[in-house]
Amino acid sequence: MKLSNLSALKEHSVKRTGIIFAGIFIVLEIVAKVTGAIEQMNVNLVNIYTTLALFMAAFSKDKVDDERSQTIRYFSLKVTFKCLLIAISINYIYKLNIESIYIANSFLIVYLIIYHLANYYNPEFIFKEGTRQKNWSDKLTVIIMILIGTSFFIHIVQVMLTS
Amino acid sequence: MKNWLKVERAKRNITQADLANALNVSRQTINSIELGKFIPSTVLALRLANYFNVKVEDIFFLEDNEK
Repeated sequence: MKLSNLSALKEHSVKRTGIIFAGIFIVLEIVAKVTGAIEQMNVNLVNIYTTLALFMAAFSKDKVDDERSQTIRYFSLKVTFKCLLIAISINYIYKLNIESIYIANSFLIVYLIIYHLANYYNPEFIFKEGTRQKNWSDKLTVIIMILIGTSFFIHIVQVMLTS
Repeated sequence: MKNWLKVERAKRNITQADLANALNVSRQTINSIELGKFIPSTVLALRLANYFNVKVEDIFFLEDNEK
Protein backbone atom coordinates (compact mmCIF):
# COMPACT_ATOMS: atom_id res chain seq x y z
CA MET A 1 0.00 0.00 0.00
CA LYS A 2 1.31 3.43 -0.95
CA LEU A 3 1.63 5.88 1.93
CA SER A 4 0.02 8.60 -0.20
CA ASN A 5 -3.15 6.48 -0.36
CA LEU A 6 -3.57 6.53 3.42
CA SER A 7 -6.08 9.00 4.77
CA ALA A 8 -7.32 9.88 8.23
CA LEU A 9 -10.72 10.59 6.72
CA LYS A 10 -13.29 7.90 6.17
CA GLU A 11 -15.28 7.40 2.97
CA HIS A 12 -18.25 9.64 2.15
CA SER A 13 -20.82 6.92 2.91
CA VAL A 14 -19.64 6.90 6.54
CA LYS A 15 -20.79 10.52 6.94
CA ARG A 16 -24.45 9.67 6.34
CA THR A 17 -24.26 6.64 8.66
CA GLY A 18 -22.65 8.80 11.37
CA ILE A 19 -25.28 11.54 11.10
CA ILE A 20 -28.15 8.99 11.25
CA PHE A 21 -26.72 7.18 14.28
CA ALA A 22 -25.84 10.43 16.08
CA GLY A 23 -29.41 11.66 15.50
CA ILE A 24 -30.85 8.40 16.86
CA PHE A 25 -28.65 8.50 19.99
CA ILE A 26 -29.35 12.20 20.67
CA VAL A 27 -33.13 11.69 20.30
CA LEU A 28 -32.87 8.56 22.50
CA GLU A 29 -31.15 10.55 25.26
CA ILE A 30 -33.64 13.45 25.04
CA VAL A 31 -36.61 11.01 25.20
CA ALA A 32 -35.00 9.20 28.14
CA LYS A 33 -34.51 12.50 29.96
CA VAL A 34 -38.09 13.65 29.31
CA THR A 35 -39.66 10.33 30.34
CA GLY A 36 -37.36 9.89 33.32
CA ALA A 37 -36.03 6.58 31.99
CA ILE A 38 -32.53 8.04 32.05
CA GLU A 39 -32.00 6.90 35.63
CA GLN A 40 -32.39 3.25 34.60
CA MET A 41 -30.14 3.38 31.54
CA ASN A 42 -26.38 3.69 31.11
CA VAL A 43 -26.28 7.27 29.81
CA ASN A 44 -22.48 7.24 29.57
CA LEU A 45 -22.63 4.45 27.02
CA VAL A 46 -25.18 6.38 24.95
CA ASN A 47 -22.94 9.47 25.12
CA ILE A 48 -19.91 7.51 23.94
CA TYR A 49 -21.94 6.06 21.03
CA THR A 50 -23.07 9.61 20.16
CA THR A 51 -19.45 10.81 20.20
CA LEU A 52 -18.36 7.95 17.95
CA ALA A 53 -21.23 8.58 15.52
CA LEU A 54 -20.50 12.34 15.44
CA PHE A 55 -16.80 11.60 14.94
CA MET A 56 -17.68 9.40 11.97
CA ALA A 57 -19.83 12.16 10.51
CA ALA A 58 -17.31 14.93 11.15
CA PHE A 59 -14.20 13.20 9.86
CA SER A 60 -15.33 11.61 6.64
CA LYS A 61 -14.74 12.78 3.10
CA ASP A 62 -17.11 14.78 0.96
CA LYS A 63 -18.57 13.33 -2.23
CA VAL A 64 -15.85 15.25 -4.10
CA ASP A 65 -13.11 15.98 -1.61
CA ASP A 66 -10.82 18.50 -3.28
CA GLU A 67 -8.38 21.20 -2.17
CA ARG A 68 -11.18 23.70 -1.54
CA SER A 69 -12.99 21.37 0.87
CA GLN A 70 -9.66 20.69 2.60
CA THR A 71 -9.18 24.45 3.11
CA ILE A 72 -12.71 24.72 4.50
CA ARG A 73 -12.08 21.71 6.76
CA TYR A 74 -8.92 23.33 8.11
CA PHE A 75 -10.77 26.62 8.74
CA SER A 76 -13.68 24.85 10.48
CA LEU A 77 -11.32 22.83 12.66
CA LYS A 78 -9.39 25.96 13.62
CA VAL A 79 -12.54 27.92 14.58
CA THR A 80 -14.02 24.94 16.45
CA PHE A 81 -10.79 24.30 18.34
CA LYS A 82 -10.55 27.96 19.42
CA CYS A 83 -14.19 27.88 20.63
CA LEU A 84 -13.54 24.56 22.39
CA LEU A 85 -10.54 26.03 24.24
CA ILE A 86 -12.65 28.99 25.37
CA ALA A 87 -15.53 26.69 26.45
CA ILE A 88 -13.20 24.41 28.42
CA SER A 89 -11.57 27.44 30.10
CA ILE A 90 -14.94 28.98 31.04
CA ASN A 91 -16.18 25.60 32.32
CA TYR A 92 -13.03 25.25 34.42
CA ILE A 93 -12.80 28.83 35.75
CA TYR A 94 -16.48 29.29 36.62
CA LYS A 95 -16.82 25.67 37.83
CA LEU A 96 -19.86 25.03 35.64
CA ASN A 97 -19.26 21.27 35.98
CA ILE A 98 -20.47 20.49 32.48
CA GLU A 99 -19.40 16.95 31.66
CA SER A 100 -16.55 16.88 29.17
CA ILE A 101 -18.36 14.37 26.91
CA TYR A 102 -21.19 16.91 26.42
CA ILE A 103 -18.62 19.59 25.53
CA ALA A 104 -16.95 17.19 23.06
CA ASN A 105 -20.29 16.26 21.46
CA SER A 106 -21.41 19.90 21.27
CA PHE A 107 -18.23 20.94 19.49
CA LEU A 108 -18.36 18.03 17.06
CA ILE A 109 -21.83 19.32 16.15
CA VAL A 110 -20.48 22.91 15.96
CA TYR A 111 -17.71 21.68 13.64
CA LEU A 112 -20.21 19.92 11.38
CA ILE A 113 -22.40 23.05 11.21
CA ILE A 114 -19.46 25.41 10.48
CA TYR A 115 -18.05 23.05 7.84
CA HIS A 116 -21.33 22.60 5.99
CA LEU A 117 -22.28 26.31 6.21
CA ALA A 118 -18.85 27.32 4.90
CA ASN A 119 -19.11 24.72 2.15
CA TYR A 120 -22.52 26.06 1.12
CA TYR A 121 -21.96 29.84 1.43
CA ASN A 122 -18.31 29.72 0.37
CA PRO A 123 -17.20 32.94 2.13
CA GLU A 124 -14.14 34.56 0.55
CA PHE A 125 -12.21 35.21 3.80
CA ILE A 126 -11.69 31.47 4.37
CA PHE A 127 -9.40 31.31 1.36
CA LYS A 128 -7.39 34.42 2.29
CA GLU A 129 -5.21 32.81 4.94
CA GLY A 130 -2.29 34.83 6.25
CA THR A 131 -3.48 38.15 4.90
CA ARG A 132 -4.01 41.27 6.98
CA GLN A 133 -7.82 41.04 6.77
CA LYS A 134 -7.71 37.72 8.62
CA ASN A 135 -5.69 38.98 11.58
CA TRP A 136 -8.70 40.22 13.56
CA SER A 137 -9.79 36.68 14.52
CA ASP A 138 -6.30 35.79 15.81
CA LYS A 139 -6.17 39.08 17.78
CA LEU A 140 -9.61 38.35 19.25
CA THR A 141 -8.50 34.87 20.32
CA VAL A 142 -5.37 36.28 21.97
CA ILE A 143 -7.44 38.95 23.80
CA ILE A 144 -9.91 36.29 25.05
CA MET A 145 -7.08 34.00 26.17
CA ILE A 146 -5.38 36.94 27.99
CA LEU A 147 -8.68 37.78 29.74
CA ILE A 148 -9.18 34.16 30.77
CA GLY A 149 -5.57 33.93 31.93
CA THR A 150 -5.87 37.17 33.93
CA SER A 151 -9.08 36.05 35.63
CA PHE A 152 -7.45 32.71 36.46
CA PHE A 153 -4.42 34.54 37.90
CA ILE A 154 -6.67 36.84 39.99
CA HIS A 155 -8.54 33.76 41.23
CA ILE A 156 -5.24 32.14 42.35
CA VAL A 157 -4.14 35.36 44.12
CA GLN A 158 -7.54 35.62 45.90
CA VAL A 159 -7.28 31.99 47.05
CA MET A 160 -3.73 32.60 48.31
CA LEU A 161 -4.76 35.77 50.18
CA THR A 162 -7.75 34.17 51.88
CA SER A 163 -5.86 31.05 53.00
CA MET B 1 -5.24 37.04 -9.10
CA LYS B 2 -7.86 37.14 -11.84
CA ASN B 3 -8.69 34.54 -14.43
CA TRP B 4 -10.36 33.95 -17.80
CA LEU B 5 -11.79 30.59 -16.76
CA LYS B 6 -15.39 31.60 -17.43
CA VAL B 7 -14.41 32.91 -20.86
CA GLU B 8 -12.48 29.74 -21.72
CA ARG B 9 -15.44 27.67 -20.58
CA ALA B 10 -17.89 29.75 -22.59
CA LYS B 11 -15.70 29.45 -25.72
CA ARG B 12 -16.02 25.67 -25.53
CA ASN B 13 -19.61 25.70 -24.29
CA ILE B 14 -18.79 23.66 -21.18
CA THR B 15 -20.78 23.89 -17.95
CA GLN B 16 -19.17 24.25 -14.53
CA ALA B 17 -20.40 20.76 -13.67
CA ASP B 18 -18.81 19.25 -16.81
CA LEU B 19 -15.49 20.91 -16.07
CA ALA B 20 -15.68 19.86 -12.40
CA ASN B 21 -16.36 16.24 -13.39
CA ALA B 22 -13.49 16.23 -15.86
CA LEU B 23 -11.03 17.53 -13.27
CA ASN B 24 -12.47 15.54 -10.35
CA VAL B 25 -13.24 18.62 -8.26
CA SER B 26 -16.57 19.96 -7.01
CA ARG B 27 -18.72 22.39 -9.01
CA GLN B 28 -18.41 24.89 -6.14
CA THR B 29 -14.63 24.81 -6.56
CA ILE B 30 -14.93 25.83 -10.23
CA ASN B 31 -17.47 28.52 -9.26
CA SER B 32 -15.16 29.85 -6.50
CA ILE B 33 -12.20 30.01 -8.88
CA GLU B 34 -14.26 31.85 -11.51
CA LEU B 35 -15.44 34.39 -8.93
CA GLY B 36 -11.84 34.91 -7.76
CA LYS B 37 -12.66 33.76 -4.24
CA PHE B 38 -10.47 30.66 -4.31
CA ILE B 39 -6.96 30.57 -5.73
CA PRO B 40 -6.24 27.06 -6.99
CA SER B 41 -3.04 25.16 -6.31
CA THR B 42 -0.37 24.98 -9.00
CA VAL B 43 -1.42 21.43 -9.78
CA LEU B 44 -5.06 22.38 -10.33
CA ALA B 45 -4.07 25.46 -12.37
CA LEU B 46 -1.91 23.24 -14.59
CA ARG B 47 -4.69 20.70 -14.95
CA LEU B 48 -7.12 23.46 -15.94
CA ALA B 49 -4.65 24.79 -18.53
CA ASN B 50 -4.03 21.27 -19.78
CA TYR B 51 -7.78 20.64 -20.10
CA PHE B 52 -8.27 23.79 -22.21
CA ASN B 53 -5.00 23.14 -24.05
CA VAL B 54 -3.63 26.60 -23.25
CA LYS B 55 -0.83 27.98 -21.07
CA VAL B 56 -1.52 28.66 -17.38
CA GLU B 57 -0.86 32.38 -17.90
CA ASP B 58 -3.55 32.42 -20.61
CA ILE B 59 -6.10 31.60 -17.89
CA PHE B 60 -4.61 33.14 -14.75
CA PHE B 61 -3.01 36.55 -14.48
CA LEU B 62 -1.85 38.87 -11.72
CA GLU B 63 -3.47 42.24 -11.14
CA ASP B 64 -1.31 45.38 -11.33
CA ASN B 65 -1.00 45.74 -7.55
CA GLU B 66 0.12 42.11 -7.22
CA LYS B 67 3.07 42.34 -9.65
